[in-house]
Amino acid sequence: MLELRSLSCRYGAVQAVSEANLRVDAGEIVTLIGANGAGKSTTLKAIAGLVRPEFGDILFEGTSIARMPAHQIAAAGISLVPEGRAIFANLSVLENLEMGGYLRKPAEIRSGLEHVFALFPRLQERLQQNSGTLSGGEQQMLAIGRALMAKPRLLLLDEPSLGIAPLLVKAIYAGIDAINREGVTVLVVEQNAHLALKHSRRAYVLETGRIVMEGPSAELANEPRVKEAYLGEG
Amino acid sequence: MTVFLQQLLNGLSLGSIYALVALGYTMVYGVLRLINFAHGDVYMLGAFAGYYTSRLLHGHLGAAGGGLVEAGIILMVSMVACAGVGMLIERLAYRPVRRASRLTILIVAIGVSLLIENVAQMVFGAEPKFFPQIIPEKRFDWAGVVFTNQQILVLATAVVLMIGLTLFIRRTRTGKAMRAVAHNPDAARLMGVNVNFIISLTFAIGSALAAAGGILVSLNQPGIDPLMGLMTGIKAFVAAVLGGIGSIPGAVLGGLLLGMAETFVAGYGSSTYRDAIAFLILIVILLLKPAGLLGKGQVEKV
Repeated sequence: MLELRSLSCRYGAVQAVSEANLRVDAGEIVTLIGANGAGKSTTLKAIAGLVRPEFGDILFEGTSIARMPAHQIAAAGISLVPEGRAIFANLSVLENLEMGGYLRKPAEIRSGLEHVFALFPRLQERLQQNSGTLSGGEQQMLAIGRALMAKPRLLLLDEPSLGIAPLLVKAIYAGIDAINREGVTVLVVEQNAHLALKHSRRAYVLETGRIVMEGPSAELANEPRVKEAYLGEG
Repeated sequence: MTVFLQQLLNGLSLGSIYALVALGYTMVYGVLRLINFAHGDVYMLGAFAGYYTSRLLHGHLGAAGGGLVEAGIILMVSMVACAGVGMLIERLAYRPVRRASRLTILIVAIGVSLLIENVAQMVFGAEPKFFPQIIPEKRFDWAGVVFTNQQILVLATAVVLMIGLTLFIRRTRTGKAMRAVAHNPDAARLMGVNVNFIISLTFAIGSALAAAGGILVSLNQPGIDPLMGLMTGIKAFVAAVLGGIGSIPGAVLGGLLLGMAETFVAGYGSSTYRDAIAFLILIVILLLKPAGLLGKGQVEKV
């Protein structure tokens, strides 16, 4: 479904991602783990079209999207839940969700709302509230719900557990699993490797912009190098 | 009391013009964090577009509807023409430097303003032109407060345009996208919003409102010239800052307050100080409440 071919991205003199190869098949949950600054967010931003790749290619369902503007990539079926959630704090919860369905017809927006409320009932209680007043966890639910309103086939999540109370992290990951069971392919980036490896089928490890390891998540979780560097064991 | 009501009415009428122009400053600032210094010149172009349209029309319509039909057509033509000018300015001048430093963008904005003023002087001539009296003035006397049908028309048109704008921003899908872009353009892109289109549209709407301001002013004060946008532009900018730049209700409030401040100073004090009050207000607001009356968040350096 998604394929990165020697993707490289650079910010001025800083090489953020170099020659990354990565594949996500339809229906999978794949995770990309790595330390702060390893290039995880940049990789997702490049896929979503917010960062222009320096070279390399990005294929989505066989078509190159590496030079496509972000709003067309969204229309093609990829939704990114950005790092720090980036909800529209000047809009109500409902308006945020409606913005998520910007490219959808009114009937699809109505059914999309039902779907999001089933997944995150808390959002329904806060519908008319200004979204800036939500807690971090609720904002994350809103950001995911907003991304789902676009009916993506591929959902990209950037650190969905960052800065969120443990109980809500559970609810959020349960939601992600449920979304995946409904047939949405998921690529999730995490610093919290425990969580990410538990909730994914396959994983990639990113170190200073390079992919250094890949494999089934269960196997990587037992890899001594991963245990030491990312799981705090060994 | 009569004097007070009289000045209040005059102030509201003048202030609604400032409010219309201030809306363009604040909307553009909202999506681009840019002070469009050419905005006052678009207001001037609006007046000239109306002037030339009325010359083309004159005699063809007679006095249909007491001049209201002609005024309506002129208003429409001028708003559409200036919407186009606004989009053109954005496309040709601001888009190429959108990622440049703030100083670069500021200098481009000043350059565009000077360019329009000078080209306008070449094309229209530097001497003032007289806007035809499309709607014959009627004076009404209400317990000593004198007002004209033109003042009523100015107020009514401004109110209709502002309500229309508010409904558009609040209720429509595109209006929501505009607010989303103002808050976070990248996140809006991820929703499938074509940010360039929204920015273009923002310039179009802001410029159309400025054009309406230009027409409404000319109905009352028929002398128009290529530099008429300078003072009004600066004052509308002060109004936008007063209300809180980036805030749409703020622009309306700021415009009305500034208009009233001017007429009250002229009415109770001396009309010599009428222009000074705007700048006094600007200095005071920047010292005491730099985010403006309804603005929030930090004020950035321009």
